[in-house]
Amino acid sequence: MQMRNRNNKRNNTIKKKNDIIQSIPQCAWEEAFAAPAPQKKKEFLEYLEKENAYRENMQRQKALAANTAKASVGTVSFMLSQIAYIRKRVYLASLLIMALAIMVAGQTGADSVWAVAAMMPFIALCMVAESARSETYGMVEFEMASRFSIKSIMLARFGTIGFMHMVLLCILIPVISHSAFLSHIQIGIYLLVPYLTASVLELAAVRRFRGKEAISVCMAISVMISILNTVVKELLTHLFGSKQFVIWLILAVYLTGRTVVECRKMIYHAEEWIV
Amino acid sequence: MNQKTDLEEQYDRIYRYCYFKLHSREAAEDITQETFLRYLEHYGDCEPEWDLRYLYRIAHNLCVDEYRKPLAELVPAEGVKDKTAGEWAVTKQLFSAISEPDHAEKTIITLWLRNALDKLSDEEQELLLLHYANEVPYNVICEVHGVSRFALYRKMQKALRKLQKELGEEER
Repeated sequence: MQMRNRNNKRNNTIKKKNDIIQSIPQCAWEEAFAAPAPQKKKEFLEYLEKENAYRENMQRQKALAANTAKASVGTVSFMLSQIAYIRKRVYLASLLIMALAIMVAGQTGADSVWAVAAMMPFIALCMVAESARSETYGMVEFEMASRFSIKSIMLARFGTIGFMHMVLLCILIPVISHSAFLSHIQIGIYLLVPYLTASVLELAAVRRFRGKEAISVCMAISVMISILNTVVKELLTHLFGSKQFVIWLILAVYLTGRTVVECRKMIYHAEEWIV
Repeated sequence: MNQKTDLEEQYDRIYRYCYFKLHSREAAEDITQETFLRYLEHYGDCEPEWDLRYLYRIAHNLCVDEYRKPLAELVPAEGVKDKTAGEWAVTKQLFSAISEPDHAEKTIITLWLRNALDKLSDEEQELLLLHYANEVPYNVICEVHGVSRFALYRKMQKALRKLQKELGEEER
């Protein structure tokens, strides 16, 4: 009995003391450990709010960029999508010239390759005119604001139209070889050289001249190369022998390299708008 | 465990903690600001809410670094030295209790608690400050002090027993 009373008394004491701690309000604890009011609190908190807002903005932009990257288009899909943006007249013109070339090849017999070679500068004109469309019509700045960079768009145009022309060339070669007494490679090189010559000169012209004047100059270049091709064939027949074919091969390789250089210069020239 | 709290509330709590450790308003303010800046620099991108573990760990480490500075560099607040800051606060509160009878009870409890706390060691006061004044969870206190929960529990119980004893004597 005495033990029970002693235990009860002790438990009551402990409970009473615990109640003392529990009964102290939160604000009393804060006041007990109170510190003098800080002097630069308001300014610092304002600065911190701005910093937080800036960080949240950056995080939002990162998330947006990540989403955009996830939704980005693959190279092949992008190239295929650019096909629709190339004007239909470019396809029509290329096909028309090819159809004409096939007709001419059928009519002219052994000289078909030279007749078709005279038309190649005009096919090159289609490619250059379409690739330089942005600069011709003053669309460069507009296209810089688009989803894809102007560099990508120009490369896509060069690639798409160039590929199409190569396919046309591959179709033309066997057609011409039926009537001309030349190998496929010879026919290909004799057709490529005026095409590449026109491409190199016209790409350089587009960088030097502005707007529709550039198209006029390109057209003049195509006409000139077409005429020159015919004149050279008529006056310098010895240049087209089998032994001289190596010169044409070297010329074709050189012109291919120059065309690539001119394409890069053109893309760089467009990028200068960004700078 | 992350705690979602208001920026200003966290600032006040960290500042209170730093002032308790350093007993200097200017140093406490500097350390508090440095704490938040470092927190944002290292952890600002990770979570949108304040992570008390990192916040208090940074504050604790900065206070320790401040302690290690030569004494000449430590600048006490104007007119206040070490633990006499508590005395200033007590005097101010006494005057306010006399002039504002409505707050008398609250003030008396505060003074009563303040006097009892002054009898405890710094470590015990720090634990009570963190848990009761700043409402920091036990797991965060364990991380900040680098002790196990059991060790923290024993220290806290010891501090509470001493406080209870002091409060009991005050009551008498």
